[in-house]
Amino acid sequence: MKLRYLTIAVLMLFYSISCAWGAEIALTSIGQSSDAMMVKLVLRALKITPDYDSIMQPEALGSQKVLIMVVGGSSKGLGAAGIDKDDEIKRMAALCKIAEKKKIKLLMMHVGGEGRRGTLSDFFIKETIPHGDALILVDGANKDGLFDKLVEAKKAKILTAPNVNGTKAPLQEILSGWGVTR
Amino acid sequence: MELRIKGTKTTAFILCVLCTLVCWYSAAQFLSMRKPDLLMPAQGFQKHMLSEWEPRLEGTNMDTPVYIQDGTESGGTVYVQGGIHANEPAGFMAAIVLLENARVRKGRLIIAPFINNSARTHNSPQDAAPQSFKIEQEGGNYREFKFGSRATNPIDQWPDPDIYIHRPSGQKLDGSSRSNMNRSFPGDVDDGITQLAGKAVMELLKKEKVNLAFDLHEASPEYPVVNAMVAHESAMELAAMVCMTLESEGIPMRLEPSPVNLRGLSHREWGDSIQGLMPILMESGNPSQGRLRGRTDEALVLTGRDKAYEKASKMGLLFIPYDGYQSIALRTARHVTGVRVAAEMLGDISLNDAVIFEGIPSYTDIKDNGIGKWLGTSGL
Repeated sequence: MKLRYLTIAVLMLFYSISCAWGAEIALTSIGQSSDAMMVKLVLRALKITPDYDSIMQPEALGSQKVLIMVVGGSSKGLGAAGIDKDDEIKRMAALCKIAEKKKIKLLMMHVGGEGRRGTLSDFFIKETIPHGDALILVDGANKDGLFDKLVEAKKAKILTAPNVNGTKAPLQEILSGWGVTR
Repeated sequence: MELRIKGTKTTAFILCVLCTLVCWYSAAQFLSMRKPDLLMPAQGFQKHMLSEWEPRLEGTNMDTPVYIQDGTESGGTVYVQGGIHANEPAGFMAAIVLLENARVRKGRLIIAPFINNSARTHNSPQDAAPQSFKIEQEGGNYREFKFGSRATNPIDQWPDPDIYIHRPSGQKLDGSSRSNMNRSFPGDVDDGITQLAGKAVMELLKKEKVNLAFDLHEASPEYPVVNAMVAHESAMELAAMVCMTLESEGIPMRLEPSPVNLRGLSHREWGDSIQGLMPILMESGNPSQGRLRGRTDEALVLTGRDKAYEKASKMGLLFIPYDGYQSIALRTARHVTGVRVAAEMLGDISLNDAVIFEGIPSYTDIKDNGIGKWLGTSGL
C-alpha cells in the first residue's frame, strides 16, 4: 500500500513539474512566417523550452504565463498550413481572448525587420499588435512609425534589437519582469 | 512620296542571299548556345555525369556534369545544384565558385552547376534576354557563361500540354510547367526528359546518402519570397539557425516554409521522398527576372541596375533593399555564404554528419572584389 502511495506521489510530482515547465511560455506564429522558429531558437539559447505550435489553438492555452505571438505574413506558410489570412486572424483573436481570460501575458514580436513588412505582413501587424502587453521589434521594421501607433491603446512597452539574435536581451528583460525567468 | 522598287530576278536573288545570311547568322547564334561553358574544378573533385544515376539520360542534352569531392575525414554529404532555371545566373555562379575553390576536409561535397543542361541551350522566346554574360578577371581576362531559359529546350521536349499533370500527386499545373525542372520531382521515366532528369537527381540524392541539399535560384525583387531560404520541415531548424547567423553577419535572409500542397518542387519532393534529407532552396533578388525591368541586356544581368526598379523601391514595392544595384557578385555571395554556413552548422544538428570545406571566399570577398577573382583563369 505504502509503495502505491509513494508511486502516486512521485507521478504527481513529475506531472506538476512537467506542467509547470511546459506551461511557462507558449509560442505561435501569426501570419505563418517561419520567424517563430527563429524565436524558438532564441528561447532555447535562454534555456527556455516553449510550448510551440505555429497553428496553436486556444485549447492549448492552459497554465502558461506568457503567450508569444511572432507576427509576419507568409503566403507560402499560409498555404502550407492550409488556411487563409482571415482564418489566421480568427485564430489570433481567439487566442488573445483566452489569454486575456486566463490572465496570460501577451508578448508580440516582429523579428523580420524591414523585409517582413508589406501588404500581407502589415495586415497581420495591424490586427495583432494592439493586443500586446509588450512588443519586441527588430530594427528597420518601424521606419514609418506604424508600431508606435499600434501600441498606443494598451501603452505597451516597445523594446528593439538589431537582429533576431539580439532579441535575447529584450526577451530576458520582459520575461523576467513578468516573473517567468530569472 | 512612295518608294517602289521594281522586282527583278536580281532583286529576288539579293533578297534570297540576305535571307540566307540572316538564317545562317541566327542558326550560328542558336547553335552556339550548345557549346558547353568552361569549368575549372578545384583539385580533388572527380567529374561524373548525371546519367550515372539514370542511364536513360546518357547521350541526351539533359545529361550534365556532377562533381564530387571527398574529404580526408568521414562526415556527412552536402549537395549543391545550380541552373535548374538557366536564366537565374547567381544560382549557377554560386555553384561554380564553390566548385572552383572548395577543399573538403570532412565529409563530401557534390556539385551539379548546370542541373538543367538543356535549358542552357536556348533563350526564353520573346524575352529579348542576352545569350551570355562575361565575368571580368584581372589582366583583361574573362569567363563567359550562357544565359539560358527557365524551361527545357523544346528541341528536347515538345510540345507542352495544355495542362501538366504532375506525377505521382496528380496535381494539375499549367502546361509550361512540364518543361520546368523545378516541377518535375520526384521524376518519372515515362514522362518528358525533364521528369527523367528529375528522377536522376532523386536517385543521386538517395544513393549518395545526401544529408543537406541546396537548390539555388533567383527571383524578381517584387516577389515576396526573395532573399530567402525555403526549407522543408526536416530542414527548418537548421535553416532557422542559418538565417539567424547570416542576419547577425549583416546578411538579411527570410525563412519560408515549403508549402505542402505545391507539388513537384525540389524542397518539397526531396524532403518528402528521402528520409533524413534536409532540402533548402535559396532565392536571391535579381531585377533581370522581374516584370518591371526595362532593357534586358548583359549589363542588367551583371549589375541589376534598372530605373523602373529604383522607382519601385522608392514606392516601397520591393522585397529587397535596392539602391539602384543588385550586382551578380552580391547575389552570388549570398548563396555561397548561405551554403557555407549551413554546411558548418550541419554538425550541430548531427555530429557525425558534419561537413567542413575550406577555401571558400567570404561574403565580403565576393561582394567587394567580384566573382572573377574566385574563378580559374581561362587565359582568354
